[in-house]
Amino acid sequence: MILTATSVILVISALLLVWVKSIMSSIKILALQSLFLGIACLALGAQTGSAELYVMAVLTILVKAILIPFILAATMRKINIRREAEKYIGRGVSLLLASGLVVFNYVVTERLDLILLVAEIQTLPHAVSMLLIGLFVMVTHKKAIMQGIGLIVIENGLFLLALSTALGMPFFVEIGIFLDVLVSVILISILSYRMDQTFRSISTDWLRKLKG
Amino acid sequence: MTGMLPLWTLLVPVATGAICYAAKGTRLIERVHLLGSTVTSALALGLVWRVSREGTLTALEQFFLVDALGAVVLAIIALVGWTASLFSIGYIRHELQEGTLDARQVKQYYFWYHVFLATMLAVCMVNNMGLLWVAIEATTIVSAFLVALYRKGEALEAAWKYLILCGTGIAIALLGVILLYASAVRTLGDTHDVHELLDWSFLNNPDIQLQPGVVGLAFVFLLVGLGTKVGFAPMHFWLPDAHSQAPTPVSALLSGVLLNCAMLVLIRFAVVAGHTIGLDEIRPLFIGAGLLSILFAFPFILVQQDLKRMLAFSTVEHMGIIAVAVGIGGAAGYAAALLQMFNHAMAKSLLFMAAGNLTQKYGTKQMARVTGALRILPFTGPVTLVGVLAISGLPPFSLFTSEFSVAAAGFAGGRPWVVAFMLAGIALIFGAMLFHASRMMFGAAREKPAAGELSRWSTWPLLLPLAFVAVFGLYVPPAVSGLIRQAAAIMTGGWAS
Repeated sequence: MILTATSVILVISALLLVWVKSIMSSIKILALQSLFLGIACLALGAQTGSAELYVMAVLTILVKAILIPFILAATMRKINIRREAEKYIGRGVSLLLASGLVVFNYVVTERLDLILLVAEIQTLPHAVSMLLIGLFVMVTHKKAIMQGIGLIVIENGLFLLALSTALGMPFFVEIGIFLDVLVSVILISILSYRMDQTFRSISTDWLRKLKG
Repeated sequence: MTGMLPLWTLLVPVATGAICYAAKGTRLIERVHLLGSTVTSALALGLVWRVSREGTLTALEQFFLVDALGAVVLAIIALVGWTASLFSIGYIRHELQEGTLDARQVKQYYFWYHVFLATMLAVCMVNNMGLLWVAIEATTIVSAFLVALYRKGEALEAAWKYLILCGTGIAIALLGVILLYASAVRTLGDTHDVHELLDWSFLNNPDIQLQPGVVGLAFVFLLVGLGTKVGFAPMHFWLPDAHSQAPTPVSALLSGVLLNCAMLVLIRFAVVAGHTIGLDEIRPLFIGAGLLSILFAFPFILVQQDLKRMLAFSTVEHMGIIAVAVGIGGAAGYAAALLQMFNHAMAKSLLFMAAGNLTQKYGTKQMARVTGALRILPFTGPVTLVGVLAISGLPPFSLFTSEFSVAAAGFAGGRPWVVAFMLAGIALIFGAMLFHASRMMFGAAREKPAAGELSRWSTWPLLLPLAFVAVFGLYVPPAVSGLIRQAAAIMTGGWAS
């Protein structure tokens, strides 16, 4: 129940990410999204009394809601670029398309449920929605750092799915995933910074040289 | 001590990397690097030797598990890793002289090199399939640092594409892992400890039946996700970029080792999924992905102008051949796939390092500007020629043997059309590669550069893979074929413990 409610909030926050203009507010939304995920995890821990879930909740809040947004924001300040996210398509169309993805995904997972007999996984459509919205953010944005944000949205969706289907992955796996996500965000920041140094921009439009 | 062998095999490269980063002075770093990579490879080969004699080995309460399947890839890592580390010394010295890299970047290079080795070794040794995912994701991140080592626009672009494409791919694979785990928890969670439910040692058991629908869906995600990392067409777009922009020793590792690690992970998940939904359901997917990769690679090789990109597309082709062999299946098909993995790793790392010598000598990656290499580089030239002949599957070299076994397994398995398509692809690519190679090797040598090899470090390490390429075509030692048979037995679903 907690998770279903949280998953709805997460999908809405992901849609909001498609809507907002400035990268800084995107980072804030991302932090908020992770915070919700952490709180849901905490509530689930209280419900089941599992110590592992408490640790994961604390880690989610520390790493995904505080540390990662901090790193991203610090990179943005260092680069000091025009703070607006540039996109290939307008905001209105983006939001429409992203919502379309959510609806489409409801229809598809509905039919999957019939075949798979796993109707209990209520969060599945929401998790897959976040995956699709994350991908959508990655393909429609020009600024490199937004592609990193899309990656974390996907990661949050998957974490939600793992929580709702199996109360999270085995503990060591979850720790490993956290580490991987953290290091990839650091790498994304470093690469964005270098892109800025090399091209005077972090627009991926500059990355067009390697072909064939 | 021996029980902790896997742990040491991981700790040594990490420690070596850390010392390289902390050490001052290039000479000292080189010595630490050499010592570290030699010990790492020796430990890994020791593990392989033990597994081949005593069967599957576990350590730290089954945290580590090395079976024959992992051991085959472990052997590849040890051999290619060691060769590339010797080659690195000459290559990096040259880059330092030319001023393309500075002392700080050299430090970073050696640090990430060893951490990269450690992550790949981990892929072959962890038992938990969730950690398998973590390890493969870690290889992406770590090697992205190496791809971005040169502070050039192209290197940045390659690293970015690599990180984002493979990151997304691997995230999709994680969805598959989660679904698999969820299904295991749902079916078996009441009777088993949930902590072992994702262990390979637990899941690789024909008696375990999960929900077929969920597992089937999970495997599709895993195939797409891990297939991106393996370099199956049409998800391969990161591959030529990353391979061509990385420092050459790293290109050799990416092509020869990393992709095999990804293939190993994919095979493990296929075996596990096969226990529930039947391997017959999965095989056509491998064949399809494989054939598509082979056919896709040909036009790109034909019109290619960049030497390292051509080699990268040839890697796409060979991953395709391995996938076809896995798809053909049966003990013969699996053994052929593993042999092909090993032989390709040797030949391709040889070629990448030779290509590194060519590009450093001529100062360009453009094949059109490389002429008369046979005379200008008296060692690298002939080695490149042998490598190209070997990689195109010409007898008497090793890849001929393994590709022949793939074809034989295909005919025996009743899939003549698959073999026909594969051989047609191989033949076309053979023509294209030979066309490019002959233009580079023969042709008039220009005034510049002057004839002569770069350094000892850039020539004699190539002899090791060269020996394997030459010998394995005529004779595969019983110890090796025994290990490969054991590994193939694991893939057919039998418990080979």
